[in-house]
Amino acid sequence: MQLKQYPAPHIRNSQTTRGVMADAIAALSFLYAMAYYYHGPRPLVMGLGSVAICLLCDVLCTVIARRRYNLSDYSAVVTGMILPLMMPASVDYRIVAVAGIFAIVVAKAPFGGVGHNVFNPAAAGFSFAAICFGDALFTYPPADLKLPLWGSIEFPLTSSPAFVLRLGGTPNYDSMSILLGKYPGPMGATNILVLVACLIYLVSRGTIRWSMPLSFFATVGVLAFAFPRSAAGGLASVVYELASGLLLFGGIFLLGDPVTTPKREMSKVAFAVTSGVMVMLFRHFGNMEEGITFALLVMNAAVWGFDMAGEYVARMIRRRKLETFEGAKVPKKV
Amino acid sequence: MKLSKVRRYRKKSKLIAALFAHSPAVMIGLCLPFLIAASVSLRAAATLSLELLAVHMGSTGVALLASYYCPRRYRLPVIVTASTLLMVVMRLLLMVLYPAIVDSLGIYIYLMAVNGLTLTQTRALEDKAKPLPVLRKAISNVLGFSAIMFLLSLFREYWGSGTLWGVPVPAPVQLPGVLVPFFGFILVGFLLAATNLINKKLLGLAIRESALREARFTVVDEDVQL
Repeated sequence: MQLKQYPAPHIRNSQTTRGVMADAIAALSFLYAMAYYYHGPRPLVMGLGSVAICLLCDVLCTVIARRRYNLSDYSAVVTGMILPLMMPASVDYRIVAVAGIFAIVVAKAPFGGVGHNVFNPAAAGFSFAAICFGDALFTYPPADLKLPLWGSIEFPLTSSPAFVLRLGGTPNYDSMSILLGKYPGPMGATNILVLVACLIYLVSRGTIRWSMPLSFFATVGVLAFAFPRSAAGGLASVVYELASGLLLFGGIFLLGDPVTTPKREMSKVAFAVTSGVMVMLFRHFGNMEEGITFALLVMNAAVWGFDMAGEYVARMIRRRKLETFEGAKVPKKV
Repeated sequence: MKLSKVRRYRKKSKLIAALFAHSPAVMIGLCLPFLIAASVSLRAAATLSLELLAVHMGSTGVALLASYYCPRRYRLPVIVTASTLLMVVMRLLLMVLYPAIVDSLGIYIYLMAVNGLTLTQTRALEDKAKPLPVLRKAISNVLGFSAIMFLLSLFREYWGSGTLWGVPVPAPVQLPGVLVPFFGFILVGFLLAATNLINKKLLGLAIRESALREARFTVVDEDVQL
């Protein structure tokens, strides 16, 4: 028998960081393709610029921390791709740059870099940009309007269904427009069909577990049905709440971050349900039309509690199983 | 290893450390609310620094006298009374100089009467304390607080309002989010990290130079012996 020596951990998943990030990049590319179809090359330039800024900041921070930069770590690329998709296609390039710099230099690097960050960098970057540039971030160009690459946007900008819901109104878009993303909103968050396809792709690849987004959307749906913000009624309100703003996008790409979410399955479900409640609270009582990023940041700070509770419950279940199996009292340490 | 260079560096770095990394204003969280929430403009920093100078130095003087002539159980009320009176006087003076700034600072002007730095440092005085070391420590505390306050205010006013001392200056982008208190926490953290990094780098350079010098002298000595 030949013994081979390897460092811990000895039980490994076949997934690697590189694989997970590559899947996310592939899914985000579909959204960039739709954004290009609607608004021309400007979204692509925004994405490339954001990725470049995030990569540069990540490399600089790694060098300052006297660590070697891992070229196969695509986390900065994913953050750079996510940020512009949460913003209007008409937003200034400097705003995207500010969000990217904040995401890496403040939300990621000081906590130890990839795998050690407490907060989702993309959510933090967008939240900071929303505080600084609220007006620019929540006014959108009409769908399928080709935007110029440089210079100011001459076209009138409108508000999104999320703003209409916040005022208690009912968005005036038919179901086909909602499915195909033919309404003003964040670049990557309006194409419902493409987003659902991305979700199916990521779940089938094993990048995210199905339980988290399902629990999250179910919670939001139940709360939207029970406490509708629009006058259209319960079921229509569910559709509008799920389709408006960054809810669907955040539930797929932000909520599923493996670093900033709990580890156990039951903890993940509890986390997703609580996140759904928090998001709806922000939507009902918050100052801004979009609160998912702020809600997620608050929930990221509480992940340790979910992990602790999950471990406690798992230990209790294990003890009960052993007691039932062996018919004897099991010491408390098990 | 000859550590003379290291000792010389440590003496110099004590000043930097006292002003920044080991300043009680930051390390123990004393005066942190002023650094985080009130450091939004250079004029606010100057106002609060002047006020702290008067309140802290005056309270320290009163505490010194109290350490000679006052029983311990009455010292704290005496010190707080003195600091409050000094705060009132300073507020009246500052209202004449910067009325708009004093109004904008709101409660922080009044909070200076019971700021943690003054209360902690004055309460810790032993009986019949020596005046010179106590006053030297008090002035260094005030200088440390002022240095950090000015640094933070410079950054936040430039990037948040696009002005310096109320004068508009060109800035590539204006970030109002920088003026929000949570960003003050972030800035204080970065300032401490930068100070620790610079201290470590300089100390490392000093140790390396001492070790090299020692190695050179050792080689020469061996040659001479041979």
